[in-house]
Amino acid sequence: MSGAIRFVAHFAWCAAAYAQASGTGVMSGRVLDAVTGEPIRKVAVQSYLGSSYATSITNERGEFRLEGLPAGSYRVLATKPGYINSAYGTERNTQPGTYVKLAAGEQNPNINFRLTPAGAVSGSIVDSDGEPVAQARVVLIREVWRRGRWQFQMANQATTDERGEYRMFFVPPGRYVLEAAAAFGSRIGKTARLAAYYPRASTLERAERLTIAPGKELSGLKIWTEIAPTASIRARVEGAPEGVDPHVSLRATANEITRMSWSSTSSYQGLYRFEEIPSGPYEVWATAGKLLAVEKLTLAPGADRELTLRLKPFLEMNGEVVVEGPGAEKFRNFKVTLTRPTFRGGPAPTAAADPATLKFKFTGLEPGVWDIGVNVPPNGYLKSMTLGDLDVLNEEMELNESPDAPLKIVVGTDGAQLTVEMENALPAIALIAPTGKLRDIESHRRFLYTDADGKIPVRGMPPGEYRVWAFEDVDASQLSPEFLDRHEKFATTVRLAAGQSAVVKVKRIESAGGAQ
Amino acid sequence: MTALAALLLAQSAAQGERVALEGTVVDALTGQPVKGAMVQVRPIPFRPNWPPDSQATTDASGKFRIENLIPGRIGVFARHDRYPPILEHPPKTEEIITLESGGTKDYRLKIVPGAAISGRVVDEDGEPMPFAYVDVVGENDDPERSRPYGQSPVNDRGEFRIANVPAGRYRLRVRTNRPPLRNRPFAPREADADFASLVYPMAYHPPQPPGGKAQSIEVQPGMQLTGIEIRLTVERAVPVSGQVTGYRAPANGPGLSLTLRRKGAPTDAYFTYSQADGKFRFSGVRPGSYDLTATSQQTMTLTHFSRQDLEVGDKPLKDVSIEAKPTFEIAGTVEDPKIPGLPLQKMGFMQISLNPIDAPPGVPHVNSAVLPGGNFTLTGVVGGVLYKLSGPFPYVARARIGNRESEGDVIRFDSPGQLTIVPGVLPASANLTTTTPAPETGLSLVLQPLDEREKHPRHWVYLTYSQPNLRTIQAAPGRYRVVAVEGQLFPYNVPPDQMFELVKSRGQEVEFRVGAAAPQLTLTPFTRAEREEIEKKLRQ
Repeated sequence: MSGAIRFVAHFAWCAAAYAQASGTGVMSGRVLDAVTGEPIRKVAVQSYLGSSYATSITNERGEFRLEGLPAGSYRVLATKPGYINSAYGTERNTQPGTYVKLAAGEQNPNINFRLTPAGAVSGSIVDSDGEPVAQARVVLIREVWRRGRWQFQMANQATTDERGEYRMFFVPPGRYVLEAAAAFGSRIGKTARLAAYYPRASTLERAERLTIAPGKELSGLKIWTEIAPTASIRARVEGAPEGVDPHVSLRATANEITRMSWSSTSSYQGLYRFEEIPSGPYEVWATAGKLLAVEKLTLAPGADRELTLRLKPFLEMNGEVVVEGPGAEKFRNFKVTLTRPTFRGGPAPTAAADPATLKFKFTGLEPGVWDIGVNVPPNGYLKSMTLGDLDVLNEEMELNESPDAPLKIVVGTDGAQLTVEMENALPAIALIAPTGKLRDIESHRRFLYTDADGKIPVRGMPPGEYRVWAFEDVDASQLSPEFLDRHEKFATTVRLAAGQSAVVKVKRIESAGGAQ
Repeated sequence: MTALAALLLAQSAAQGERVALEGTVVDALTGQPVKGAMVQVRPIPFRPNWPPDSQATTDASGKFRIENLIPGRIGVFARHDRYPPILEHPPKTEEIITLESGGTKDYRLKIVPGAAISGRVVDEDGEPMPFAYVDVVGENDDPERSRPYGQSPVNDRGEFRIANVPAGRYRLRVRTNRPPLRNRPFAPREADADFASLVYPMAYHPPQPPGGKAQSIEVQPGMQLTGIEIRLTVERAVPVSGQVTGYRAPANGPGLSLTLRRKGAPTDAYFTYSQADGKFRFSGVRPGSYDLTATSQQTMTLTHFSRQDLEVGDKPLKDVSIEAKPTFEIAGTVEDPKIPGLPLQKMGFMQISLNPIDAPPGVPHVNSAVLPGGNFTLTGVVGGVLYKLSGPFPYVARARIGNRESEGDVIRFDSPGQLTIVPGVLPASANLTTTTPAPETGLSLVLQPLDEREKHPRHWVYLTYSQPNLRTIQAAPGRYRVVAVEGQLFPYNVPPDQMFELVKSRGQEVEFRVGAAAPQLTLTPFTRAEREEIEKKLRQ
């Protein structure tokens, strides 16, 4: 007991040492569970101003009080394990929230939070006889709307215990699939336990979709797994330069989430061996100096495949930047960057355009899908990107060989300026997307937060027609066409001409879930 | 085994007879067959021409068959993901059998289930403590045994569960990095250096009574130990900051590595690095007595080491100063044991090692390759520390540092200098008789050297024999107290107090001398039951 009193005394001293001379303000409020509406105790509420902050812990009634705050625009965060972290003005940690303006000496008692409780998933992994599998890796994969389609993202993982049971907790609400990852190696001998998906699927695509609701646990999820003989590959590499030992690697392509890879730099009599690997689809890569070969193949259980990889030079791509619009001749410094849609490691290839000709050249490119990035002038925008006849602004650019045609990037200098203004200056998150079929191409969308005045200024908008949605709260990973179709009637239309400045006033779409 | 049987076995092996071991793996408690168990065999004693692939996995009815084996004594054990992991070789669960000429069929190999320990970890208010970690550690929570016997994170409901724990005596250790919640006044981030804070100290179950002896829990195979509740307590802590002197960090390189270890509980430690300007800060240190060490490691070599006592009170501690002391580089030569004064000509790869005996935590062992001409260079040697010197020879006869001469394997350096090692080649012997028949499971001998290693069981000599007909034992010359123990004895699994008790109650003093007649040792090996008795006595 005396210990507790000492702590209080000490913090009081700290507060005195750092208290502002006069005119400090107070923020207070309550933190409630968004599902049950009950107050939550022991939530850390923190107010940030620059590099200074204060913390207040909620009491039994969910109340907190932050004192001694000088005037300014604060970000306020509420965190508690088991709940989705929340910034003031939002309910999810995917969003930075909005500012709370505090005048000198002001007392704001209305800083209230509703925290979304996380969910949980539990169950077991069994073999084909229904017997528990211990030490199995279980992966929870979140389905997110990215790059114009539903994609998968690793969300959580666990290992089964000796009873074959697993449990994952603090899972944010959303759409998921559940995988029992492949296992192989000395633990299970010359067989592999193939990857399996809830409840009994062999591919990610055929897995059952699970919806995890706030604060709910999905329990008893049993995944059935199969054992199959492992396969092997013997690869030979042709065309390596004298004195260069090729490097051969193997990438499992069954799914991007629990991606497995193997690599080998040593060969026995020119043969690169990969043994006791699980069956399934693979890419085999060979590199030697500036040469490369890639083969795609699918290994059946027990297969022993022999293949020859013929090395070819890495890919090359020429290109040019064309600048159009007022003052176009002033902009001569462009840098083009290529990135992989899924991270694979290694630096992103970059090419600087020659300031005189605006031409650029990429060398040493690996085949595959590449995203193109380019710096545009202030208030400029990307008008078009083409590779021969291909529209690579609106379609993915997949390179399998060095393209004959150059990559042509047209940049406009006279983008439009748009200011989205919220009715009643409420905090919101806005989605701005072109109308028509371009709506669902991610690179054309803007997803932005209101500033302290409830406004969103945007520059460099390509001319055209747009729809604007403003949400109180939305999960950025769920902005699928179906979701937008459902919310179509809440959107506001705006037409933007080149070089125009426009203001659009919008009404916030209030969050449906949660107790108010 | 009769001499004739041994002869027959030797003959069949010589003729290259290969046989199979067939059997079923069964759960030692339920007797049920176990599917998917990996069975492994090894020859006793070790044989170089043993087939390398001597393992098999049991089928759905628990059956296995390993072919191509040589008849004779073998050790067999099974492992399975649903049973305790095999942490040492040979495992304690190994069964020793004789593989007959013609093969062995219907062998029932037992696999022993572990225990499961479960419960909850809660904070001072009884709320779950997710992301705390529960480790199953030995009775003494030996800091040198880095790997716990089992581990479990605490989940959102505060629950933990650790399965596959082999039978034994343990303590549970709970750690968390999450500090207790507290209100903090509005202040710059840097002001944290001036604030005392709160921490959850590492907690044990069963808790250690103040001033009392650590308690432990005992688990049996298959036991489900449930309902353990561990409540963390909040303690006040302070930041400790200061300055390192005598050290200049390399450009863009890390500073010195600083460690605070609580005296008497070295697993209760705090770590930090010094900045480019030599400043360092530990946050959340509980009041108490600590060892503060500063070390610098560059390309695997310890370049600086220093240690000092530090008392931490209940106020933030600033201006702690620690001087970084450079370590020594010891160049030396190994002499030819047969021709005094001449350096040893190298034959194959050789290495000289220094192992710290009685040193502050953080002093590493040091190795050096021996170059042609017998030269070596030991870098990162800490002054004043007692080391055991070893090399590719049975023992050290004499060592010279500068013009100071020492005898035996134990050595201390007070300054950098030239080291000359005179290897001892001929080991000394003693004849051994046991008053009871030598046990089938093998025999271990513990030799407590009666020199500076006397009080450090880690640095005693442990000999293990699997042949039951042992007669002569060999060791470096010197005086020892010797005891025999049934089975295999691993010094890391036996608490020091038990080691002292063993040599105290039944140790025979003997001097091993080169060139002298081998002394006679008559020992009564401790049986398993007797050792358990001692363990029990010491626990009370």
